[in-house]
Amino acid sequence: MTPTPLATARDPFEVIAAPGGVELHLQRTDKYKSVLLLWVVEAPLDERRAARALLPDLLTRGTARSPGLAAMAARCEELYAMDLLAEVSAHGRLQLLRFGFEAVADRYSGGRPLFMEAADLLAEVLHEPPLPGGRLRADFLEQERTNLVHAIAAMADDKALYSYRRLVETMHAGTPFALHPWGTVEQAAALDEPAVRAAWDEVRDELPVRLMIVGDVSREQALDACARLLAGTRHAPHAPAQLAPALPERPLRHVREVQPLAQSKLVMGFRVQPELLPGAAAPLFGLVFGGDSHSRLFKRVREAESLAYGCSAGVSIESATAVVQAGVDAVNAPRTQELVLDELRRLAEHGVREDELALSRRAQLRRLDNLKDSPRAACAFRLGALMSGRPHVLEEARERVQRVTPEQVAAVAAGCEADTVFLLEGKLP
Amino acid sequence: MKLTPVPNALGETILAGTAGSGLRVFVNPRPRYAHTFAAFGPNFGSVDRVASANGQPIPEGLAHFLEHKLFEDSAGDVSDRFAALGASTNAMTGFCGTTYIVSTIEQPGACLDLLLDFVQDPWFTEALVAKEQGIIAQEIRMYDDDPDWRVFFGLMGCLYEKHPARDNIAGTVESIAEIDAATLRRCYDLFYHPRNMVLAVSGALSPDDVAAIVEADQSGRPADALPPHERSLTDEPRTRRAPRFELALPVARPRLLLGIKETVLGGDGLTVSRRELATRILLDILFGPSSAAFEELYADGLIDETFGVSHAAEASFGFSTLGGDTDDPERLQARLLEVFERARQQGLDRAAFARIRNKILGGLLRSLDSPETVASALLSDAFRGVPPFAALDLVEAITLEDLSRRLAEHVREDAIAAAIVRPTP
Repeated sequence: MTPTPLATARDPFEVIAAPGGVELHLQRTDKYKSVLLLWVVEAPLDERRAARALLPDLLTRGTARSPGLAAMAARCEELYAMDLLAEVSAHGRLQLLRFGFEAVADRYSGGRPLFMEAADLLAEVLHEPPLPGGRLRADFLEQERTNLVHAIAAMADDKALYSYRRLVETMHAGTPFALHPWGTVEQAAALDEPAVRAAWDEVRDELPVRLMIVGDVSREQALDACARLLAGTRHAPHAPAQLAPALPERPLRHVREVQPLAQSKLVMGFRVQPELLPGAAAPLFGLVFGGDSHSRLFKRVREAESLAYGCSAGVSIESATAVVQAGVDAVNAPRTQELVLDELRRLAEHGVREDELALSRRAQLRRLDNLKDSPRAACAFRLGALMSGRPHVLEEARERVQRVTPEQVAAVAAGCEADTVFLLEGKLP
Repeated sequence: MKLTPVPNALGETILAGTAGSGLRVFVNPRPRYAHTFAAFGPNFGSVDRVASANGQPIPEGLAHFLEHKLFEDSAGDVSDRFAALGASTNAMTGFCGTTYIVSTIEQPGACLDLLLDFVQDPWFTEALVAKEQGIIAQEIRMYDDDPDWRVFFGLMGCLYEKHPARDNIAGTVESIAEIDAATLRRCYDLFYHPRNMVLAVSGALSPDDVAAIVEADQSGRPADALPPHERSLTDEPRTRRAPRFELALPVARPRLLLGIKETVLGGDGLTVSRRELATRILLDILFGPSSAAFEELYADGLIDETFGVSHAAEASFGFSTLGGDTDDPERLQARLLEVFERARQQGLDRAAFARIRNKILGGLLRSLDSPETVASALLSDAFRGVPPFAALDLVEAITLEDLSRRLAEHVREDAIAAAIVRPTP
């Protein structure tokens, strides 16, 4: 991406190559009563991901000046309920660490510089944890490690999420796409101070960073906040976006697990030919197939046959896959699978109707236009697009959606191959 | 219909009016926003199991069933027509209300018109009811596997003996099997009438356009002869029904949800809102992230980031909940109760009270950035009968002494119950 310094009618963000290697994206607007700031660190999804995943909770647990949860929360409350953000997620091959805040705009604080006070608190979080004896606090580290182990294990409590994860781990085994950004229970349980310290060093002073700010903030304030968040550190440039890999051709695999549940979860994974992913045809295929209430699967599996409360489909551009999910009675899983495969075949062989493509196009355009009213959603879209090498300017993304033809959507359907079916079979004792 | 400005403590532009039919309308214009969000619905939720108009019993799960069924009329699936207008639509049923929403950028006027039409022009056939029974049964089974849902309704079953708040909002597979088209029609007529409904619009659509669309819609409908639905107090005992509920599910760790049944009931909307806010502030002071108790329990490994507290208040029922994942539910329960006892003996932290008030002010200001949040708040405030954003004035009027009184009257041993979900052996 070539940085463009000024916002335009097409792109409300200014992009500034800030000191320290930080790429600053600033949308200056007084439309909102709050200001959003996100400090986004990009790391590879590798064996060190659990150590990095510990950092958001560990660093927001306390700073040298406010060394404890209560002191940290009290400072946020004093800053008019500043929302301190710290989370870990994945995007394709990348692990993302987002630190940031949402705070009431300065014009509502009676002259108090809330934005800078909030930036100072975030800078403390990033750079000034309590370091008794020059080491991260042992009690904090031990507890957050235990909490991370619990959080990873508790993902299995959400049966839809668990089933989705089992499918993804099976489909992408041996690649970064199979990895959860929190790491495994074993990796988390094995974390020690040197490993977490090394992850902290890497996050604060090495890995690529994007800073995104939306709100009533001047360019000077934004750069000042950036300098405080950098605290003299320097970050590497962003790696270019990578194309999605092709999964190997192989026979359809069935994986089944039984648990004492009232409802079974059927998850079907499809390989999508990577050359079909550029452009906007793949997301529109997802909407036609199972992404909205007008979609084929919603109409047939839910409305026509009453087999499920929800039956949805989505395409992952980053991993070149499509996934269908449904909650059904175990006895109806084969019929649901049959319907899904039949609708995919019909889309590939007979194409998409103009009316259903029009509905999907409007739904996709509405989703894009809604970003204009939501700072968090606008930043998430922009970040995702930048990392995937897709248009990050809303208007360009809209134009791509407008250009999609029925033939292109049918081609995506024809380029989908069933790869893996995971059934979490519910069987009550 | 004339829309007039409603003064409010946040200085937000809010206009309100009442159509000739009796339908109340609230508009929050936002000319700089691209989209418009509208929320429309009746003051009718899952706890309404007797119609105040004629005393008729309402089957369990009916409000939720109606919510599902209105999306299909004689012309087919209503969602398709919203999609053709470039809009998205949804609905939700709660204890005390049903809300139908639409969010759109294109053609907001046509979307509002369609919203008013589909909610007020139902279409019930036995075939469509039978189809929906299968879909809702799957929704119920989905909730049956949700540990948070199960622990919550397990707790409600401990707190309440007779009040319908103890029942699952969607009903049971058995209760919905008994619902037919005639029952839906009968209940629809009792609750879905203009004087029992509210429309709230926030976003790009102008107040003049909203008024014109509502007027055109309502003028073509028969005059509303029914009064708004009123919830009366039940003969529910003041004490909890049972002290404990336990269930085994395939989960990684146990979870505890401690509940406190509200025993101070009744009063007008402002009274209920004041009670609700005071209790929330009290719980935030005692157990919120900045409290000493939260820090101690976290440091002792008894709670983690899943821990939370909440309070819900209505005139006819109310409850507080505290809990989350924990390895030792019994020990956590004992420690939570100790915190209440300590507060009774030592009093409440005045500095924390000031901070929590700041927090509420900041949260209210930030919530104004979301048309969805504003329209939903306007709707629930109207159902409760309080002015928009009354919370701000109410919070400023609450004193530390009010909170101490709340602690004494709300937290009583015989009103407390615990629900626990443990991992399947």
